[in-house]
Amino acid sequence: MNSILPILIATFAIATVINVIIRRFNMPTVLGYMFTGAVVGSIFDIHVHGNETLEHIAEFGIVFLMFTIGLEFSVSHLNAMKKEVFLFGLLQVVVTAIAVTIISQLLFDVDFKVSIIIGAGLALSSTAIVHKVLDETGRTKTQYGKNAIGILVFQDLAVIPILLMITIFTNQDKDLSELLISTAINAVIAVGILILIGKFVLARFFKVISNANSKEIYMGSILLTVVGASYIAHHFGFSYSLGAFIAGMMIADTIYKYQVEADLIPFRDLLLGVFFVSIGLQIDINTVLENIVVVVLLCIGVMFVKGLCIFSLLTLNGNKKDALKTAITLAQIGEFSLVVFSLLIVNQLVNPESAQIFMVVTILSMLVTPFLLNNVDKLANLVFKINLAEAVLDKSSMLSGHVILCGYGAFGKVVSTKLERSGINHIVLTNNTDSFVKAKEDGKTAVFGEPSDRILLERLKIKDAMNTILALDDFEAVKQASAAIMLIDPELKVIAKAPSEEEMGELSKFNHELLLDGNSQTASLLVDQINRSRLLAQETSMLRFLSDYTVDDPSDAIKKVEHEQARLLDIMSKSFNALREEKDIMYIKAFHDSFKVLSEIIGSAISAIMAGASVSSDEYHRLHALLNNQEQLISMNGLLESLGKELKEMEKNEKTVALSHMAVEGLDTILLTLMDIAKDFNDIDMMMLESMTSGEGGGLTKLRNTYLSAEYGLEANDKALLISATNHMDRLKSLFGSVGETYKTLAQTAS
Amino acid sequence: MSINTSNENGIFILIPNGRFDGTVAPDAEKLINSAIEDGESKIIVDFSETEFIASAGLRIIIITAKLLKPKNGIVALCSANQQIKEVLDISGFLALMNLHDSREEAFTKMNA
Repeated sequence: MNSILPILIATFAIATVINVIIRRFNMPTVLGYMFTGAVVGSIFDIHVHGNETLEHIAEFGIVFLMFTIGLEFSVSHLNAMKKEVFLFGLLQVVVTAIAVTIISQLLFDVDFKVSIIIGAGLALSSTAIVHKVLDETGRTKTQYGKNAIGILVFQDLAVIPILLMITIFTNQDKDLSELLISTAINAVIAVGILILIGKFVLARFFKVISNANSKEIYMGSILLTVVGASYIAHHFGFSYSLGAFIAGMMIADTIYKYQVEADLIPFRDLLLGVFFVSIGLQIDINTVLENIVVVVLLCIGVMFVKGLCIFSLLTLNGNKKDALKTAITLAQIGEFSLVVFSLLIVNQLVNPESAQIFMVVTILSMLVTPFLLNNVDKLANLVFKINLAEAVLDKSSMLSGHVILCGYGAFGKVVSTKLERSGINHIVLTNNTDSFVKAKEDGKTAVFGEPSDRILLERLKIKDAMNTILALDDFEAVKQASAAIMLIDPELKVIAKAPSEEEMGELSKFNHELLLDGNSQTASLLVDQINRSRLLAQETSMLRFLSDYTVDDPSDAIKKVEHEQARLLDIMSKSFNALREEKDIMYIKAFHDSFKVLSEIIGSAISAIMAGASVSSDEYHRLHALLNNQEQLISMNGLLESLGKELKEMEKNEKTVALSHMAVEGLDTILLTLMDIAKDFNDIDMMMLESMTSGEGGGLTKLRNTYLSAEYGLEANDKALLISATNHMDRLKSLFGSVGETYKTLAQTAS
Repeated sequence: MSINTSNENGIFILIPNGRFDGTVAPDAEKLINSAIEDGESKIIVDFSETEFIASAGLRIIIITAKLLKPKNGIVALCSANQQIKEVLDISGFLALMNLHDSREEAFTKMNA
């Protein structure tokens, strides 16, 4: 105990520090855990091999991962993805294994049987890393995400015949046919038991557990299911993971799927952390240093061959860009390959040094994967041109995204019906079994779980949702869900139902967009607002100029960027109009959202043109100015969004209401002048803009001091609001001036 | 008519009544254009009867200043109420043109 405590403390300390830093750079925590393992391993001289406890704990990380993957693979889902799993998966494993076997036969003096095992081992990719990163970044539903996950599921199933192959190649005593027959019989018994339990026992078991209404009993029963299923599979000679995967698949067909998943994710992630630390521990830094060139070359070589095989296979079957992205995603060697290499050492089929080199190559390839996955779009865009129309479609689907409707009581049901009539996708989330069943009977997409469960809400992509509506009958539940959503992101759009005025007051601290009473007329009004905002955002973010640009003609492309970028100012002017006309916050937000979408597309177009080969020096300067402008426009939109909220607040106070209106008019005037400059530059407009934004006369300072003086009698809160709003106005004016300066530069370079 | 005009001491005066916003801005623009075409180069916008000015109204004043600039003309403002003074402060207009307390003061300064 005494000896293990310092190691545990060091591991937690290093992992925490590294992961905090890594998250700041938006990198997955997987890297932090592996690095922690490598550091702790070299400090304390620990090795995973032979340490059975550590091996088991680490293996259970994979077991829980496979269980959660199984949860997403109900029989119907597997059927829908049969092409990705059984066609792409089979071809990938077989073709890659053959290619690697041939190469290792030609280049290295390796025994033929060993070549086959190495080939099959290297064909496997890392489910743990790829699935985790795709999941964290919400890419599991993209085409290449689906391809990758389908292939990974097949690879995980392929581990069984690969392990069997090692047994056959090393077992001289047993007859081959006898071995195959006994394996087949064991498979039928193990899978049969698991399926029978799943079909006839699991749903009933979880119903009883749910009715007990105790979180720890629920958690315990999930662990029992996972560990029990893993044990059954292992007892019949298969991997723990296979049992867990089948158990997951069985639960996937029950209503408890999402709640089970939500409860298990923290547990799984913690164990996966242990698994990745154990991977890091296997890095023998001395071997890496002594064979650094071989390791790096082998790593590049294997990843290239794997990537090439996957790309060639998928290109025959679909979009080249998706094929490339899938290839990049799955080019690494996976954790099951490490198991295969361990068995090669145990059975003395390769010498320990070669096996260590292969292990280090595997880990290195896993280490680079998060970097590759974070940049997969950029890498694919280097090879294939960006299709902006496609990009707009992607982004617009974000705008027209789903609504999460929490609760399916009388009010929730009315809201759901209205949403459906308006063609708005929505997911019903409820923890009430009767409501859940009712929603399912009404043909809704319904999820069973706690509306206050942060992990569950994140799984439902709350950050991409158009709105979240809390239509819960229990007021306590509304407060809990509001608090959970605030923790995820205080800026998320939430509409809540409160039973009375008094309770509406209690909810005011949660920054909700709208608070509603519970009648059906309100529901109708609410859905109308959501629908209108959605249509408005879609319309505004459509491309007008950049839909058909090509990087081969940079001069034309730059002009199109300039025109499209000037539209960002139009959108800002429209949000000023919305403020003037006292439109609701959702309506105003629609403009800010479409601004973000359009500006992202313009930003990627500028980068794509800059990366083009035929850009002249002048054009490069213009692009640089446009990029600079882009950043300033984005800051302007952010400022305007904050200022809009403050002005809305100031409208509520009779002492500041007039100032709020005057601010809109004054700033809009400067913006209109800037728009003239953006559309058709001339020196007089520019001179006027410079004067208006120079701060001469100290207009805003004078105004601020007047309102803050004792004679106005503003409360402390109102004073703080006023100071913040006038600061935002000052910064906005200064940005108007800077953007004007950029247009001046652009006009000078054009002439 | 919600906009009055007059011509005193060789200076064209625009006097918007009530709200000077998008609904009256086109009329104001026509009046100013024709005055400039007639050779006027000194213009005062008198806010003594104006309650409120929107960005559309302010824009007309900017366009006026822009048209007068090549002719070495001049625009001045006068008699603004508290709200109008605030919008002029926020928009930075006072760095572009002068605001006088009364029409008489404006005359004096413009003819000085």
